[in-house]
Amino acid sequence: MKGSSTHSPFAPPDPVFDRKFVLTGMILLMLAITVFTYLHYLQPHILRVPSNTDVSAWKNPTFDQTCIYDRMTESERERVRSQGIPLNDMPNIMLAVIFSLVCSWLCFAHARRHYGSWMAWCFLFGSFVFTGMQESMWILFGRFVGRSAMSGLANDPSYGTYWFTKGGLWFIETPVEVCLGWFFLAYGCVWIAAKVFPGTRLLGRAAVGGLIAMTMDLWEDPVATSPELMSWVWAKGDFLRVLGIPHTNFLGWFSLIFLFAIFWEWLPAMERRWGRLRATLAFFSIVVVAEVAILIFMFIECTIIQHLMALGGFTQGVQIPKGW
Amino acid sequence: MSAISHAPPSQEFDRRFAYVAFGLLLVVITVSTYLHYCQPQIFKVPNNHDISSWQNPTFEQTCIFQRMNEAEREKLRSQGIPGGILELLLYEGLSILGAWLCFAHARKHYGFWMASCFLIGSFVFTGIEESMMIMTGRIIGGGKVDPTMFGTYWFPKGGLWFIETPVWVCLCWFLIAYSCVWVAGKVFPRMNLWPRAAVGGLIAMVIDLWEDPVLTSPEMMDWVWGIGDKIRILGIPHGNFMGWFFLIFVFAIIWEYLPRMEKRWGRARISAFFVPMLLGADIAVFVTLLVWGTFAGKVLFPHGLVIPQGW
Repeated sequence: MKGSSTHSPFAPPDPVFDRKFVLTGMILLMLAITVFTYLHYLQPHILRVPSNTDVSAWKNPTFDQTCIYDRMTESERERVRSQGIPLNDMPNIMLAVIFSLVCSWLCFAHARRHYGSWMAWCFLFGSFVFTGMQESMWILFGRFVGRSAMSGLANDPSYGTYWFTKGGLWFIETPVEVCLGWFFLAYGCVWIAAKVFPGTRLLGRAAVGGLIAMTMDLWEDPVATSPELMSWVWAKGDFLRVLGIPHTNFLGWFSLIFLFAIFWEWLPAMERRWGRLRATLAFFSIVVVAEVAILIFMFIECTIIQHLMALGGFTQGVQIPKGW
Repeated sequence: MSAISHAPPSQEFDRRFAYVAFGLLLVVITVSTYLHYCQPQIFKVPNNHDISSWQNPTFEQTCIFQRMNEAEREKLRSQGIPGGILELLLYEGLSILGAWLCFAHARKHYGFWMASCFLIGSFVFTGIEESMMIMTGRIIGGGKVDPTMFGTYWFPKGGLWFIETPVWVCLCWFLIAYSCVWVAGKVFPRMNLWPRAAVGGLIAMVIDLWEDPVLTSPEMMDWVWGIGDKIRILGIPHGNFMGWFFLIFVFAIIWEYLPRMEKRWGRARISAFFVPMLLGADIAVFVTLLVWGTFAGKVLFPHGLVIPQGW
């Protein structure tokens, strides 16, 4: 990102536009968050939000169709049945919200100082919307369709995808702290990639940033989805799981950060060509199109691997390590 | 790290240094590996297949026992520690590859002598520290110190061994320590040595925070913890995270002082004193962790602190 001056995507301030842009972006984001938080808590039937206290009411998947069910001791299952999702109380949720706000604020302040206000807001809004929409598309697909692109081998019935159990405010069906977490991880990883490989071109830097984030996620996800935390819940049936997590999750982390870093660094060039307003509109349009493209790519990739595995004689999914 | 001076080459000395240092390391690895496999009673090596023979701690006195369901316990009792030769080869292969990449990078940036000092120093530093902790638990047993403490921990899986620490663990420690301190130097290029070493230690500690719960899970059991530390984070005794931070912090400082010490005392003398210096630092870290652990367990959190609850 700011590895060398030739690559630095700094954009000089345009106070009038920047003020309007931030105001519009904030209002739209706040509106979306308010509507979806209202729907999540007060009209949960509309988006079919699973109950955190009554796990017997879960559908697509039911409790015993989740990955976590297999990893639990009987006493842990009983505890979840009687007490619901663990650590689902206000202090713990507030702690997560405050932590994500502080980290995001630090990253945002850093971005504004190094790349200017417009670029920093584009990273924040863009990554927030990019991840929030992508996650929510997967969540709602599983919830409403009742299956997943990742499953379907002969002996692996499909039960849905995943969902987030805990959150304060919501953007569609993704907690705001998850969107913010994605922002500061993406920003931090791509920035470190540029520092560590200052002579590398954009594509290489974006790939390294994506790989760092993916590797971090590789270790974080098994912990965050453990029986003691259950911050999100995966449905069973995926044909390739690494440390209990579907491989598409890691693929998603890499591709989202890789693509987002590229689009974001294109911004100054787009601005020079079309002006700041058009560049902003183009950036967010590209982000939305990329969302759909990633989703389609994942379906194609999953179908190909499914067929290859079926041809190879696999009737059940592969788990690395075995038994997880 | 980025700010330290490149130690100028002295080919004749460097060749002799490499022969002696790597030669000694190979001798220790050969003897330790022989003892581990052929004379396991000397170091009281726990049996990977017969779980019921474990002592200090017994299977029921390990942290992992509490996290397993009955089916997983039965599987472990009947089949032993999970994983086979392929997994072990993967660990050894990946750690050698990673260490080789880091060593090549260090040699290019800091010269052969400095790179060798980092590799051998970190290898010995961590191998001795880990082995001291392991052997303390295994031989003394926690129960004699505190009735609620059942040993420390140990590594069930390894190909070659350095005392009672697998070589792949020592190599991983080298590559994590080197890359974390190097990244800290890149991200904060104007920072002084001490805060830079602290940032390197913090990065490594945060990585370890997420890795350990995965690697000690029932499906992997790359190492096994005895019940005892009253403060546990994600199921891992907090002393582990403090150990990661202190070891990398102290080692980075000692290593970066090498060129200055070389100027003062000469390369030969400082090379001879490097390992004894690390041994002294090992003992200092060990005593610090013991004192802190006792203070934290007895005074700060006498009833224990488990984050998150239930893990």
